[in-house]
Amino acid sequence: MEFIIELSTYMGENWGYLLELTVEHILMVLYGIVLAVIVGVPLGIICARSEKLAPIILSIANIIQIIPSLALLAILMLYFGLGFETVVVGLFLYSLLPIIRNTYVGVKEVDPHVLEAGKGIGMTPLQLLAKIQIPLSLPFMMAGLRIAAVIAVGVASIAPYIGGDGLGREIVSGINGRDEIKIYAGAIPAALLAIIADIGLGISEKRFKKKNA
Amino acid sequence: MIRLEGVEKVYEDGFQALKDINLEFKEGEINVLIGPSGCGKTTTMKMLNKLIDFTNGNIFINDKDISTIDAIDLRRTIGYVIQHIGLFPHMTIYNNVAAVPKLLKWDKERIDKRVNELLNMVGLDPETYANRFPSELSGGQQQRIGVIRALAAEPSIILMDEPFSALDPISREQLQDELLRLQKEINKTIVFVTHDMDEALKIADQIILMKDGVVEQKGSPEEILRSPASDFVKDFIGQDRLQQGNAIPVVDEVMSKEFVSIEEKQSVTDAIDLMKDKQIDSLMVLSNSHQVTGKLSLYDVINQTEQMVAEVMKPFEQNIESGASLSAALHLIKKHDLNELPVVDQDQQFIGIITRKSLIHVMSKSYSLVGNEGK
Repeated sequence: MEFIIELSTYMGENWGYLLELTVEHILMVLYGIVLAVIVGVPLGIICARSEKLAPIILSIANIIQIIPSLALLAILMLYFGLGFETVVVGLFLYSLLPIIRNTYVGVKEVDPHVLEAGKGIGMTPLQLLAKIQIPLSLPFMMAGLRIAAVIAVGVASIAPYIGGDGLGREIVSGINGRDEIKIYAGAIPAALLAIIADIGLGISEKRFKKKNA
Repeated sequence: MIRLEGVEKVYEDGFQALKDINLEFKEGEINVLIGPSGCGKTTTMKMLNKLIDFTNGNIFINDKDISTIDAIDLRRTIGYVIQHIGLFPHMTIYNNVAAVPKLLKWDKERIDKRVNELLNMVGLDPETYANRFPSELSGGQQQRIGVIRALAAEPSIILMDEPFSALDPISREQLQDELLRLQKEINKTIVFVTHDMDEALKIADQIILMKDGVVEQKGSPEEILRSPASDFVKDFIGQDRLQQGNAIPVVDEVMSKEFVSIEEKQSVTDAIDLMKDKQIDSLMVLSNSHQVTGKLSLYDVINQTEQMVAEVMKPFEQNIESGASLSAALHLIKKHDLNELPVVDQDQQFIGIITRKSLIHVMSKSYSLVGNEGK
């Protein structure tokens, strides 16, 4: 009980700083994921259209995903130096696989009869993509985005090791100072962010699914 | 009109799917391609809108070689209904029906009007259904939308690939009836693929029966039922249906060759004497070349005794060719309210006549037979 009072007093006193860290945390995740969508969705579509390229692109994304997050960020630091951008690049790489794979599966899963109908009434390949394949694979893409977001919120917590900010800063300084309160003050908002991302994107995923059912 | 000339399809692995296909699909007719799976019926149809390309030969649509038409443009001018309905699940009924007009960039007002018109045509209230999604409709309703989607941009040709086979038997019957009703209004050239012989017999103007990439027989449902070209055709039609086909006699079996006649150049007085003599009220009139040209009844001759037969007789305006079915003859008789219908051979030479008497004779024979079987 005493601990909870202490924690809330600390968070109350430092809410401005914690909010700043939270915003930075969200920004890193947002930039990383937006980049991953911009690159990952087209790659996923390329995978769905080319049986030859699909295994190559998917294995590269898989390999990136296998590298432990701390190691990946450390390697990136060697090339990009310390700082915010390096974390964003790391989160981008980490988010690629779920987005590419889900786009690929989504486009592949479109009912071939619906495609045949589209082709038969005279849609061009580009119209097929824009009017049928992409809208119908949105629920899958949303699921990919959700997975990517949850992972990215977690990975972003180790950003301070390579010069980034975010809620990880509070956690790391807590570890260094053996300060339980600080660790919790960083960890709880970080966990909440992950939960909010999961639930929020989950709802929009369901909405798309319902519309397409 | 669609014409296929010597069309062949050879796949890369050397398999020849179609061999020397020569067909003609007439304007405003329902042409049914039928055969066992793998016979090439769907391939033949899909070549018409270039979903499958052919190896040899030529296909003409309204005398234009389709190899000179861009595939996308061609498809937008041909309606297409697929077996699995294939509605776009993420689009409302309105947007599904409007798909082709939108591709053709019609203005919104025109599209609205057309969609309403089409929905009404198949008995779906636009206000209720336009904003629903396909998943909210029954299978039969969905395929109605599939059919009107194909009609939306007013194509003169519609391709239908086993459109009703995925439906339950009742919906299937309903949609077949609706198609026939619609066809009377819209009068399109329809190419319809099916494997269901009952369906083909019900809706077709022309049936094309295929096997192993070859046309085994083509003709009207009646012709195919009456004279199957091979054992394969017989098997495919099935004994039951063949018997049904034979139950309807040809006009030759019904017509009578015995009648009292008079020549055109004889006088009406002669005719009256003949009628008195034979106790009848009408005579067939023969021309100089012994062709029956008309009929002379008692009413025609009253007070006309000064005239010649040729002047007062009623010439026949309708005739029917030998080999036609009785149903065709009955249709003519009903349509023109005839008492007699002459039967001619291929050279238009008179060979007999169907009268009300000969019809009753045939009917009484077949119905008394059925009566006896019943006991």
